[in-house]
Amino acid sequence: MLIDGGKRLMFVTNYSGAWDSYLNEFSELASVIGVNLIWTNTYIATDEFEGKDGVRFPNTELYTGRGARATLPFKAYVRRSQLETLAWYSAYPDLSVVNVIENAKLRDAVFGPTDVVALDLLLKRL
Amino acid sequence: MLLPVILLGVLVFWAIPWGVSRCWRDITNAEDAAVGCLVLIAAVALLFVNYMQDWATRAGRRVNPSAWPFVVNGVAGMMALAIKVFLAILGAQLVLQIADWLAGYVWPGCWIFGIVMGVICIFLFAITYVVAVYFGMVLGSAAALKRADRTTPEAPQKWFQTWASFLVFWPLFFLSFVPLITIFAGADWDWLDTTIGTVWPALVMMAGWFSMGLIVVIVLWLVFLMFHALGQSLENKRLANPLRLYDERSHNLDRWAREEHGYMRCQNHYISLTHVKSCFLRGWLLTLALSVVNFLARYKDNKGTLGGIPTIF
Repeated sequence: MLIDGGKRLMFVTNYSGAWDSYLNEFSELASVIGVNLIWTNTYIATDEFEGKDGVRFPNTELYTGRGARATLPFKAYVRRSQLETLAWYSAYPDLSVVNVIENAKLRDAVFGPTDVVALDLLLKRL
Repeated sequence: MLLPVILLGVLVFWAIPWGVSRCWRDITNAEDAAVGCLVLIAAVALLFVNYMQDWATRAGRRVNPSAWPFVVNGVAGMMALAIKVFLAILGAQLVLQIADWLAGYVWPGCWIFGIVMGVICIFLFAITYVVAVYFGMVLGSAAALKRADRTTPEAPQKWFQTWASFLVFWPLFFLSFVPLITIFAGADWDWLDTTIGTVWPALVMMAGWFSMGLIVVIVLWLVFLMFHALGQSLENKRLANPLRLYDERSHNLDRWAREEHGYMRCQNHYISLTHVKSCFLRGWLLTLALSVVNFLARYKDNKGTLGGIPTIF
């Protein structure tokens, strides 16, 4: 979302798994076009970084190409722009979202009708 | 957030053709044709959004032309688009002159007339196909056009959607010509009246208008890309290369350990804060891009895998 009257861009996300693999999906899948379309319009303001005013997003080609595809500079940019979160609550910190969803389905199956098909599906989930 | 998208659509598909038509008085009535334009745009949107369902899983992937939905509906749609491109290149008036010339030397209904038009259509199809693939790849809207897998549970629904969109698209497409057909019903063009009737001139005029909008968009896009490349080279002097940040990676070891192996290895949270570049065009484009993402998140990718990312639920 844009804040400060459109002067700054804030990106907030919750995701499953590791940070590194999450960013790989951004730079390798079709979503890289969306990432480039958004973040190529941004920069990180820093205090005197190598005599420059700030750090730019990796250069894009034809506006949507390359950019986040350059994995190393992209990850470096993402890490530098990160803000530490003071508080974040997770009910099941040791489970991924996929596991949480599967467990919920398992619970529903246990307390649901127990015909042959439902029982078969239940056993397959275990 | 959707306002910029709507404004852009109105500008491209209505305001520009309307403005051009004002300078080209002898084509037809602008307001009535604009109604047809809007209906046609709805049909084209259906064409791309609805029945081309399997979006490219990898950016830059080429469209597979042998896929079934493409054969059934896409070829016909591309042919319609090909006429627009052809008219854009030559101009609607010149097309009418060519047709008039053909009618003078080759009598209507002659097999030569049909062959000539057929060759032109095939040629135009090739041009249009290249243009469509290019824009599909650039804008990320290229459909993978994969053959529906009948072995998966959702396959029947996909096939239903394909045929449903087929039934929706073409009535809308032809409906879009109704206003112009009505206008040209009394047209005093002998060669047209004696050959194909009043449908063809309406088709020509309609396609000509859309081609104007299309060409203007392409030119604007190319100009924008040039300015973007120029602006980027200037920014490179003012802003540092992000690769230089990689040297500071040792500062992030704590975060990395926490997110890769620590208590946040299963679920993670991330906040990023960046500054928007000062150029007004940057801000406008950013708003537009966010609007599109917002739209997709609400109406298309609202059941997981936003933008093809499986970890976004």
